[in-house]
Amino acid sequence: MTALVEPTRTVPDDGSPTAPSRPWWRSALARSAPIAAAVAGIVVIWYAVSYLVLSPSQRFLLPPPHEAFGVALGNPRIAGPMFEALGRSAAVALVGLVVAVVLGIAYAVVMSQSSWAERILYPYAVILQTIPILALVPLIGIWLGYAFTARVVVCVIIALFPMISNTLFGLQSASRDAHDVLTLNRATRWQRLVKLQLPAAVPAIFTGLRNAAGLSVIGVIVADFYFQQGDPGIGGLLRLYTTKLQMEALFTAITLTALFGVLVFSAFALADRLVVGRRYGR
Amino acid sequence: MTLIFDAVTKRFATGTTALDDVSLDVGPREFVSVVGPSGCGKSTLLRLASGLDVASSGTVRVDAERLSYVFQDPALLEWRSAARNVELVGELRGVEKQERRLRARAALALVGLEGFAQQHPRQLSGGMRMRVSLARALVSDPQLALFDEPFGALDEITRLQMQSELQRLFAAPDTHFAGLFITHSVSEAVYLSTRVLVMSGRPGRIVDEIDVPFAHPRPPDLRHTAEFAELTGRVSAALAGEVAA
Repeated sequence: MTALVEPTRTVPDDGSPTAPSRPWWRSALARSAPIAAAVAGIVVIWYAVSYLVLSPSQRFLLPPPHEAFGVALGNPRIAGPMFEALGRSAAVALVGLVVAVVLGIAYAVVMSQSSWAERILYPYAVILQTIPILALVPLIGIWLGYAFTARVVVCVIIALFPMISNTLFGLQSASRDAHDVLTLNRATRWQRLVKLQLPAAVPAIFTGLRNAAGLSVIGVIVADFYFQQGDPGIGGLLRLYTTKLQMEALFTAITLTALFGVLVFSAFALADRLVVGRRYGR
Repeated sequence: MTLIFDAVTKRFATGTTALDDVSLDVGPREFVSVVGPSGCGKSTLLRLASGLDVASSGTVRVDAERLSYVFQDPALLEWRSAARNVELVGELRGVEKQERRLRARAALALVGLEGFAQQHPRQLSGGMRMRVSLARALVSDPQLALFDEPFGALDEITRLQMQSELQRLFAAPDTHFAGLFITHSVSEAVYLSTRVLVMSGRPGRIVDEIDVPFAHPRPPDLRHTAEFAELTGRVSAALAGEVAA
């Protein structure tokens, strides 16, 4: 668990006496430097493959970034629908995430209240996790249609398990001594939950949130990809561009999808650092 | 009597007998230590006294409305400041906000942590965390305080300081507790207590009882007097006799 959480005290030791009091934007910059370097690396490799590996006749397989983005974003008839689709997908992913978070925490809280509840309810979560989502997607389409609701359901199914398992782990992480302190002071079940178990679970809940957020983005792409009917999401466009061999649009759409995933992940990593880092000393 | 054990036996479901026919009592304003080898059921004694666990046979009688328990681990809630950790007791017991704040502040002052009320546990040293734990135990003004090797994990210097601190708290005019203190350390037991009980290992039995007549408060250099050495010698002999037997 903790391995997934980056240390908070990452102020670089550059020997300058003002290092700890540097403005927040500079430390934010210092922290985002590695990811920026990675993006630059990808762009360099992309160009290298386009120009050095592929012959001009093959270059359509991987057009260089400026051409891909130029063609797709420069043409409003491609860029317009693409951003609309991205917006639709983002809305589905966020609603799916919120539903998964609420359901996952509630499910874990119920399980944490007795070992019986855990023994009865946990298998359902495991089964949900082990059924390949692709086996369920067509069925969801038949039952719920191919629009917003069905797509949200796909996101929820994919994102739910890490919320449940991380929250449950967190709720059970308080020490026996801490539980004894509450028992000796005649804490009610509710007091034990809100004053001990839930606060103790906060770091684990944030770990679950980051995983669930990433999975929710994957979920919406999968749903879009399979549910071709109705307004297309970004995943639907990926399929469309592939069948029509619109390589520039395809690469632009893939890049936008990746950026959206990185954005969601970063937002939750930041929230994690702010909440868990401050109050829990991680 | 604040606490009475009458012929108490505790067997666990696994078949081990943790305590065998243990009888003891702790009077008001007495401080009784129990020394014994590891795994002799000393902690079980406290769990029974606190009601966290029940005896297999015999009776445990507690005549204290307010009881508190100090664990070897400070068992603080890491997301709460020192003050809010101490306030927890009042929150659980429905003490009004203003009142429990005042009491928490007073309890922290009692253990010498006035200036650290807003610090979180991770910002405090091991000794200071244990002081917060003591403050949390004393904030309800208990009539009986149970200590389960609270200083066992501290370094020697901090440990001696905490012993002085605890005997000062015991003798302080604004505390009113009787103590039952579990320890491995013979000198800690003698320094803190009005009476020392020596326990045998597996199953736990009380094999000797030694009165410690020194008045409270006790200066730190009491530990270097001949009388102190004589008493620790007697406790050690009782322990050694038990280990040999």
